[in-house]
Amino acid sequence: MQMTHRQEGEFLVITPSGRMDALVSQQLEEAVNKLLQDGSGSIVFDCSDISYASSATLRVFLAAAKRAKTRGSHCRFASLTKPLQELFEISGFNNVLEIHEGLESALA
Amino acid sequence: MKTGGKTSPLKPGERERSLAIALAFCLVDVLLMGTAAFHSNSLTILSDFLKELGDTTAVLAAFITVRAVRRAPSHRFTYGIGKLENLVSMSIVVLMTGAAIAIAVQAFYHFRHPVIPHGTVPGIFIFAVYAFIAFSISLRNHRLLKSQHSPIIASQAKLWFSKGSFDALMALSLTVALICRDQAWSLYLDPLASLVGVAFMLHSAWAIATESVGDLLDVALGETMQMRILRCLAERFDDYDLLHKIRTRRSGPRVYVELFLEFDPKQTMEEVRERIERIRFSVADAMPGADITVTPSNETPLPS
Repeated sequence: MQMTHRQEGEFLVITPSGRMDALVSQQLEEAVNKLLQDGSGSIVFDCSDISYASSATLRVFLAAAKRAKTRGSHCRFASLTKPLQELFEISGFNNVLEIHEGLESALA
Repeated sequence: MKTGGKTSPLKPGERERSLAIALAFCLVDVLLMGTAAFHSNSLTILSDFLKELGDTTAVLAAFITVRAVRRAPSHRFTYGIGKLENLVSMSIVVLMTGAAIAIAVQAFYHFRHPVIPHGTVPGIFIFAVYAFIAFSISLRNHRLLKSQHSPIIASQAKLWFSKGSFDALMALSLTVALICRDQAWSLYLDPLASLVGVAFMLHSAWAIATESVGDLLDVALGETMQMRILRCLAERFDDYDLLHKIRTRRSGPRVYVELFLEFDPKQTMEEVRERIERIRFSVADAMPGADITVTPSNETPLPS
């Protein structure tokens, strides 16, 4: 897994990429938790480069969204790839998470 | 050994019923193939008989174990004896591997010292009937797939096609060996086909072993089950504050799900209890028969 992050105004943009299997999701969770501990602003997951996501990845997303909501900030998901869109529908995430078509609208 | 499959949660009663039906079919199968093997010196028929015997023993052991496991946990085995099923499965794997090795040794002996197979007609007939049934079911599944998309039906179609192909190959090799019995090369068809049977036996043993070892090592549930849990947590998104961990495992026929969630510390015990119950019922609804625990937690638990 490759993951980059950058600050865009009040948002921390996290861009995971590649195949997000169970092992990779553990690394993602550790990285996201560390980033969330350090900052208190809102986050955007740029999902444009995710080729596959396991249920473990979805759990990391759900946990991050819950953490953001609890502290009164935002956790948005932008540019979902087709496989990820399907997974969000199957898991019902599209009903509860903030999903944006593109990064620009997510940062607005 | 789990005929219920990894992704289809069956209630204990349903599982026992489906095992009883599978057992009845397996016993008929063993009886037919056993009779054919008894009246023939064909290694192909013997290897298939041993393969069917292994499968039947696995189903029988599963049936007996499920009945034993159904009993309430005793004071000594407070979590029940679900792992017994996995231990029995591993013993069957050893037996099936032993039988496969014995057939392979015999096949290599027959390569060096060819024998003329006799009494193969009943075996050919049984293989042909099985191939016909398997191909019919596969064709029916393929027709269903045209009208509705279903991964389960797709995998069933593939499974029955592979069963049908195996039986057809066995019937064909025995028929050719019978028709061309005057030709020297035909003597090698029987041991050759029996080695295909050995490969199928080893494949069955491998499938049982990987599933049982996974369960013994408390491997997490498959993706389909995990998705169901996540869907419930998404539906009950406002009932908890933080999601720390989801821990799942299987013990024999039982499925265990542990959710470690953090709740608003300002809520009363009664409010938290009500929320826990709502989440628990939601997951229980999605996974009938599963044992679900929601643990209020303010940190991610360490692996036990």
